[in-house]
Amino acid sequence: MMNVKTDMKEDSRKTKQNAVTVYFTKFGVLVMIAALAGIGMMVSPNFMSWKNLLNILNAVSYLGIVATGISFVIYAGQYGDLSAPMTMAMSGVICVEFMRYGLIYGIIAAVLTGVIIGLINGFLVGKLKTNAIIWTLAMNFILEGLVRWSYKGTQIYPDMANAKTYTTGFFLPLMAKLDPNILKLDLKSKAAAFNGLAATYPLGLPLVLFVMFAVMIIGFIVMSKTTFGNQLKVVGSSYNVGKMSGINCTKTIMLAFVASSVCASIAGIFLTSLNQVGAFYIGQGYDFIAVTAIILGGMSLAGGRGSIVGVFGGVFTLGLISNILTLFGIGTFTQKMITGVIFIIVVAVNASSLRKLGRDYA
Amino acid sequence: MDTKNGLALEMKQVSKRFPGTLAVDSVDFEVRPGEVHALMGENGAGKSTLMKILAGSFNDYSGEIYIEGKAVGLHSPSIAKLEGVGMVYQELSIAYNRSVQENIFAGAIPGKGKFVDMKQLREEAVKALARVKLDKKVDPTMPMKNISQHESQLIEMAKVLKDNPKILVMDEPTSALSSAEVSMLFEIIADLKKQGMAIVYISHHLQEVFKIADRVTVMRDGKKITTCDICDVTKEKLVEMMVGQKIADFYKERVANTKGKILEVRNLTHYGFIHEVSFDLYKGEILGVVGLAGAGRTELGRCLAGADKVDDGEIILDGEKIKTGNMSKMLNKGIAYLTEDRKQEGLALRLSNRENILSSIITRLSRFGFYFPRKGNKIITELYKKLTIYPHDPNIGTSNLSGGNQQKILLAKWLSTKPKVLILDEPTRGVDVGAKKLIHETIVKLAEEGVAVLVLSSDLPELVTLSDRIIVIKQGRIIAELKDELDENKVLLAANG
Repeated sequence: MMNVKTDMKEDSRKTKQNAVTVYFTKFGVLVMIAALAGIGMMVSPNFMSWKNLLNILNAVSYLGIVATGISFVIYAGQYGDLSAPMTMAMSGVICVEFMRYGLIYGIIAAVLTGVIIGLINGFLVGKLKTNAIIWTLAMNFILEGLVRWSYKGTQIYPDMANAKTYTTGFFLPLMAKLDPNILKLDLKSKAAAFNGLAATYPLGLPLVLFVMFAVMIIGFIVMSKTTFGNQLKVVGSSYNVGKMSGINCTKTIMLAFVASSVCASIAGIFLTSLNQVGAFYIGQGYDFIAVTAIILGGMSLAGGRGSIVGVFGGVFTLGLISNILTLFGIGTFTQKMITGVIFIIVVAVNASSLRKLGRDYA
Repeated sequence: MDTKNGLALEMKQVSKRFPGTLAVDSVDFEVRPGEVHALMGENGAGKSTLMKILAGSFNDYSGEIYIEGKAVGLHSPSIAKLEGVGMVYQELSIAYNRSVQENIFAGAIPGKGKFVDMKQLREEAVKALARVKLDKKVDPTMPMKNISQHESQLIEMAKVLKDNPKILVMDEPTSALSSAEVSMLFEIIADLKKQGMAIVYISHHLQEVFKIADRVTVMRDGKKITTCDICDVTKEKLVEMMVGQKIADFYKERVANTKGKILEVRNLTHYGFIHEVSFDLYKGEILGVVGLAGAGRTELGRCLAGADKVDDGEIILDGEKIKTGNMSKMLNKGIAYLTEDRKQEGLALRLSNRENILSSIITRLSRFGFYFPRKGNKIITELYKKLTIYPHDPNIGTSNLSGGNQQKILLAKWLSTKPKVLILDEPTRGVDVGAKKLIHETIVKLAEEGVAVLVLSSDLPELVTLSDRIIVIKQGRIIAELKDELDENKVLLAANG
């Protein structure tokens, strides 16, 4: 029998991507960071000081935690989790309510809230195949209504101990009914512990910075080294292929949404502590900036491509931009416009580079 | 024709360069009016690129193109369309929620002023449908999603024909059709021929080409090998020109060496698709399943693999009754299913070959929730060698591979699961001769190693030569089982009976 040597034949079709495109998607964010650092040094001699860099990192650490979570949803090919802002707010409020029994109970209750929201999102998107953007937007709306309705539009302060609080809250009236002693709990020290979360400086650095690095390291390991992360990559690249490879797509997508909501919860707890108040507006705008950071970090909106290292790069870049703009004396409102323009440019480049590679199959 | 040499299309010294490769290298190509001209070659030979030049997909080709003697510059798809080039692609471009008539006239809906003229639209649509012999069968106001696959393909053709092209290019028009539908398509082509249309017919099916083409052009590695009258060549000669080497005994007779029953299927039913299907499968056996399109072939494969739900019946693997409907469970028990839809369900084209091959065994290469892809290195090296996949680097993206090599990656993905029962749905659809032969050899080798193989295919010669036994399925039921001295006519008779 003759052997057909198909492997010897030069295939005459395009097998190589443009090297520039490859390097840009891989290291583009590093180039941007270097350029921004250059500009920053020109503007201010103190720019590259440790103090300033730590300031930048501290300012974006909340964003970093949220972005790590949402990146799982984007990695799963589901465009984004727009319920993140209200997940943050709701977790903060729940934490404030439950920290009356002790800080740890507050944190557990808040994270559980995140898990539940994530499971609902994941079930609707993964199992019932609703559009992720539309559903999470609706979820955000529902949660906002829930929080504002149950607190009658008021904010809740950690050290508020008067009887009025026990008639307006969502869980508090219930708790007061079950356990009358709740009224006698010493709230002053509990509230101090809660408010101290965002004001703790182990080793001279803010606690939330350590938490961001921890979340990112765990996120990196989960995304690239675990069974779940690698299945998520297949599902994100092509849902049908994942399904036909014996992967439980519903479960995988649900877990991605849970990761997103839990990260939002953690960020929500810290942000509430920083503001010393639980309210519906805590976390507003974080969904949008997080998606900008993620795409800036080279993650593809089509799913299955990118890494947490890139997400960190994207988050840091946004921090640098904001810092430099402040050094230039540009105000917050103008910065918002600039962030919006960056978002549009980054998404446009992302989409067109996908199209050029002929890979926009999603 | 009032042209000097009477050619409908003449391409002179046409070349197209991609970064790194010359995809089409100084090719001369001509088509006469009223002729069916087959364009053949392996995947990656440059025939698609040549036809894309003709369709105006590139504005940086070199060489000259004449249509009916007039020099034309086909620099955009709209120019190509105006000059009379009509393309029917393998992949359909259909808006499934719109009606048939709106699909046919997409982008050119007749109107009065700013309003759509429904009456004229309907009349024109009926005329267009008549050209593909569907005017009696299809109501132009019907939504496209209610139209069957093969009629959709004809409607796609009607869409192209309504512009009265001078040259009609068809890329693998029969790859999704059953034999009855193919002969209907051939009647339509014969009609168009009579009307003097020049037809370029791209196909991997040798038999079809011999049945319908007047002349054939063979391409290899971007170059034209030859153009000749179809009656001057034999099948063997054509294959030799396409592959570039002589192929001795294309299909080898094989003696089945079956041992022990591995799979028992009893009364398997998925309402509306398959009904009370029962058969046995033995270790080392290759069982072919034949049936017209829509007969339930694919659904049978999907039910066995756990991809579709099963309403009734049981599957007994190795004496153990297994609960159906869970794909990962079936996979772990040793039933693997290679899908017919490579692009949508088979391979994630954005991943690398390595990731694609290992995607079905992620859990097997994991310990305590952590994934160790390095454990798959040996499997990948082995499979790359076994299937001679080109290029050799498993880390490049799957989208960069030719169709034949992508199919090999898909096969490798399922071989990596070390299946006891391997279900192959159209294992060689749209792949070139060399890859096809290699896939066939691999299937035979697997059977010799004791794997039970179920081949679902619409390629009759493939089934007849590969299978030890063939079951015929019609409207979801097994209507015949053929064992000894399989030949195509017998199978065809049974399938249509």
